[in-house]
Amino acid sequence: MICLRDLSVDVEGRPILRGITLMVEAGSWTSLIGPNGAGKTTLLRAVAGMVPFTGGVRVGGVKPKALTRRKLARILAYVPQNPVFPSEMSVKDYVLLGRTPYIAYLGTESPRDLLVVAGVLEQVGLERHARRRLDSLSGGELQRAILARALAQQARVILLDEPTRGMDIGHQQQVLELVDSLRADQGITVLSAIHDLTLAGQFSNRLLLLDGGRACAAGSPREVLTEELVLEHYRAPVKIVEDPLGGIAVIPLRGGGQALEGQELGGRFEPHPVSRVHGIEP
Amino acid sequence: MAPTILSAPVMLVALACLCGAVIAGAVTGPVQLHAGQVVRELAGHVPFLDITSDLSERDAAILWQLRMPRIVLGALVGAMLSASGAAYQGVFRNPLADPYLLGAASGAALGATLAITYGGQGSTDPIQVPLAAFAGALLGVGMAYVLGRSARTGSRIGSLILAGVAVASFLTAVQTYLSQRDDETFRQVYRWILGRLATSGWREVLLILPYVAVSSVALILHRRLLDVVSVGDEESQSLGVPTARVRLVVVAAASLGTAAAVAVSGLIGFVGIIVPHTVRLIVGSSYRLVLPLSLVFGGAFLVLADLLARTVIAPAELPIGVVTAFFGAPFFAVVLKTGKGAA
Repeated sequence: MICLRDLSVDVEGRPILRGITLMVEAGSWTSLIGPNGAGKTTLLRAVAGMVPFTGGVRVGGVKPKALTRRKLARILAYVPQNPVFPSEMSVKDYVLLGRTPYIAYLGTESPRDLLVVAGVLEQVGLERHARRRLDSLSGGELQRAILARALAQQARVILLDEPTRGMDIGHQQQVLELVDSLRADQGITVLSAIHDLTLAGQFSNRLLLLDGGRACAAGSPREVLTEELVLEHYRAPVKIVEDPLGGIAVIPLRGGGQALEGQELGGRFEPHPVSRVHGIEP
Repeated sequence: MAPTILSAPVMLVALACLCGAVIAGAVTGPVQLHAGQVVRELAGHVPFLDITSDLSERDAAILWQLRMPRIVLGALVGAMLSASGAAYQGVFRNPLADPYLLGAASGAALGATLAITYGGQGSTDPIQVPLAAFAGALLGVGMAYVLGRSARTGSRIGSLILAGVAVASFLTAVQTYLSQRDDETFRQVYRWILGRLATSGWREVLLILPYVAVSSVALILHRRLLDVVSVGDEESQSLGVPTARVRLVVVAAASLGTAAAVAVSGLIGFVGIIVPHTVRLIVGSSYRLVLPLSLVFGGAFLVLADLLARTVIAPAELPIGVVTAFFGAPFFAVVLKTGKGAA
């Protein structure tokens, strides 16, 4: 459904992405992982046609650049990392913005558009909050509102940039479960950038590990989330635990930074003497 | 809020307010007219309504030659200023944007002054003065926007308004210099700058009607797009909207309307803040409702403000800009304080 071939992006002369090739199958969920500044957001923006790039990008077999923005918005919905929420707008009006690609340029919404909005509000469990103002919603509810706006676009592809940012573990799981059930029910293709490796491993069918703008590993969570790869690219010692149900959990090990430092210094790592810590002269 | 359900009753209330304001304005004056007679006289001019009026010839002349032109002009100017205010607020995503604060009004004043001072016979030309005012209004908004964006410090909302105030002061200074230099046109320009709804028959109404019509229709057509623009450039583009084009058309339409209003009424401040914000308190923030309702309530508001302006110190008259500032400035403070700046 999404096909990238040798994708490179430069921003203000600096290379951000180099030679990325990726295939995302229809109805699957692929997550981009990688340390800060790896180029995850830029990759999503390139697919959404928001940054200039070289190489090939195809969504559903067509080049996004060959479509008008309106037509592209009907097949691809993009949820940015920090969406702008017009604080006074009602949830329903906000979700209705997702119908924009279907409403004539200077026209107004039809009863069908309102029907779609009511439907997606129910899907994300916000039907009872339709009249509330956005600034009265909790973080989890806001995230569901923007998801509803993306769903109202009735696009076959959804790009999610850090959909669980700033949420507690319960809301993170609820939002991702919701995305996964929509993917399963409606065959939506999901490409997301997720910081949390365990969540990425639990919910994605495939992972692409980016580091310094290059693709370093791709495959199933089991293949990509290995202790060696995480240590190499995140400089973080972790323990990988396989969930018997098929997912993967990544557990950070304590004293990570010190262990790493010790390793680099060739094992010359020494703990502070206890007496110095307590301020007692020997 | 659910616009589709709410819009019809609220719109009826707004139209009722406008009718009430028009009747109050028509009745009140040095010669008090009878309300029932005025209503029958006005209704007699509605097509397909077979109502005969018993208004005396003298009273009918007062109504149709003196009061109604002024009331209609007030309604047009008020509608235009408040709809333009709402549109500027939407397009700049700034709750304090207003034709007056953005430099649009003072730019229009400068343009009109230039046309009156150097236009020769053009000072009575129904095309030249509004067009010069329009060019001035666009210049004012453009300068404020560019200056506001180049600001390195402060909030985005604050810097646009500060830039607007700076631009407005500068343009007003130039305009004052020009009008002082030329004694012949000085009185003409000065009377008009204070902001007043003085009319000579229906001339002014006919002069601005086409501009107000074009501008209002353009703004109303863009009301839904202003909602889309409220999520920012990038997201509205990803929803398939050419944001830059929407912004350009809306700013041009709002500036044209402002310029036409300024060209006949001078500088009347705060209407573009008071009315749209009051409307938002009633129906929520969607421009699908805020824009049309601002047009109607804006008309009613300025008709009533004008009624106050000509009765408070009767037989003398207050400039109407004084009345709107009297209500507008405290209102502005309330808007600042309630933190609508986050919008």
